[in-house]
Amino acid sequence: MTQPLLSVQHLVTTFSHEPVVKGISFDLYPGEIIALVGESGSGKSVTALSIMGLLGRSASAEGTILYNEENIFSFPKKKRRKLNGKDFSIVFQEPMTSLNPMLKIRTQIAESLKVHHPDWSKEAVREKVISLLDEVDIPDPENVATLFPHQLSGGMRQRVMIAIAVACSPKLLVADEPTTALDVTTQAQILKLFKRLNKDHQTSILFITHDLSVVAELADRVIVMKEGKIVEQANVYDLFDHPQHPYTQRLLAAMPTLDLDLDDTVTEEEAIK
Amino acid sequence: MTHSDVLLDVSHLSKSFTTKNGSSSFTAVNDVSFQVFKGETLGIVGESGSGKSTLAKLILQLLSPDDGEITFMDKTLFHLSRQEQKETKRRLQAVFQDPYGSLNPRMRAQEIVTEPLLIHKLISKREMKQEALALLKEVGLDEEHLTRFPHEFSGGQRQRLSIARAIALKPDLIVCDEAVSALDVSIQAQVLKLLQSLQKQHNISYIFIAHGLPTVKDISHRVAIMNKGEIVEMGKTDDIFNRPTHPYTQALLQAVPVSHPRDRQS
Repeated sequence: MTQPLLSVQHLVTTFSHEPVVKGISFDLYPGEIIALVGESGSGKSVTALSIMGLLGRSASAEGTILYNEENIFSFPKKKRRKLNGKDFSIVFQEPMTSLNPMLKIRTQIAESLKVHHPDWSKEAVREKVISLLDEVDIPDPENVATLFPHQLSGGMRQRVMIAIAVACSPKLLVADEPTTALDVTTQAQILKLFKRLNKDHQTSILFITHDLSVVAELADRVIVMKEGKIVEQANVYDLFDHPQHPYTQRLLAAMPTLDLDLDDTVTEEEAIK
Repeated sequence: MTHSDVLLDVSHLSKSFTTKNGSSSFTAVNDVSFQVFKGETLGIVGESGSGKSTLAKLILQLLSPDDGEITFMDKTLFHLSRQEQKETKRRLQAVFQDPYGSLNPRMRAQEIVTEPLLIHKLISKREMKQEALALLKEVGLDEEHLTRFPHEFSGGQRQRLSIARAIALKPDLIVCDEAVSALDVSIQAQVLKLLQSLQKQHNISYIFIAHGLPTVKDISHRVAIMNKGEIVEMGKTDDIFNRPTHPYTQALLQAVPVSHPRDRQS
């Protein structure tokens, strides 16, 4: 049996005495894509931030997260921070707020390379930046590297964010609604890119989304969250074929698709409620 | 459909925007024509920058066109007397994406939904509460919500409040610009259903604007696809979804994520 890459055990995340994530446990295996699904307020993003150690001061996370058989919650700050970028990385929904508007694309990609590979020559960093841009399907990478974020489209910016995230070949890529702000045709391309990165590098992906059709497109396994708890965990096929929890069934029924009739999903009474 | 069933007639409408220094201009809506019939829902789908929201603003008379005409209930908009303008605005209402941005945060629900009635002097202040309750009930809210402020509602409830305000004046047409886009899927389904049942009761027409095809499928009788300021294809919902003819419509449909993992392409 393969060892999990990451084992989250009894994670409780509290915001000023109010628990938002209420004791969840799950394992993430090497090379696996897990979708963490829930509606707004379900605690899915807070779970991601807890794993990444990115909670603000008003929040605290308890429980255990095992990575390489060590509890990362027990790490001193400096050791914990070293994981980010190299072992774990994250891509957020809105690239414009994650990218620095004042820096050229190449500078922003080079930043994490320089931090984690201080011995690399300037030339090596430059080459890696171009090859990363190329890997995320940015046309004319030499030119794009010299541009500023505002000169790129939303889809291109998200590709740059992904290039930064995978720069140091992380074992775990957390993606928090990375396609939610994108047009559907762009979303399709970015989802393809995630699939390819996962396949080529065996990167595990924790993909957070409220969109079940994105889950159907991408995930190996699905975790459904509601009000800070996990209500169902299953293989993606099982979940779509035999959803166990009523909440999962409701989510699936409400999913806007190309082939479903609305009349089947919500009764008139429910609509008025 | 006969001529008398036409509620809104948009004819060769164009609108460009020029940069501040006048150096370049951008055509947001380019020679767009379509009709909306009584009691029908026309879905308009386009990606960001397609011009769909500019089109909404033109219909709502929040922008003036460079070219073309809009006829609503046999009156040509943009050339109306003040009195006629007031009358058409009563019959033409809107629901926007973000109720936070469109509802006054300092007004209570009962004031929000009855303000249009007071402005048009259709009720007196004394009748406000009773009228407000009737409107809230119509959208599935209740007496307990009368005195709440917008921030005290959930997203779905807040959108119901916007709908209550929009139907207060018994409009003939409501322009819904991304009206459910910000809502969770289960709430989206409920709000769509509410819009459908209001349509049945009051014979309201909708222009339902969205960036995603699945959203408009169940509510629209006809769908128009916009790309770069133009309507590239328009037809019955069933035809658009099952027999799309324009390459852009086909690409849009192709890009919609699958609804079951077994339909994955790779």
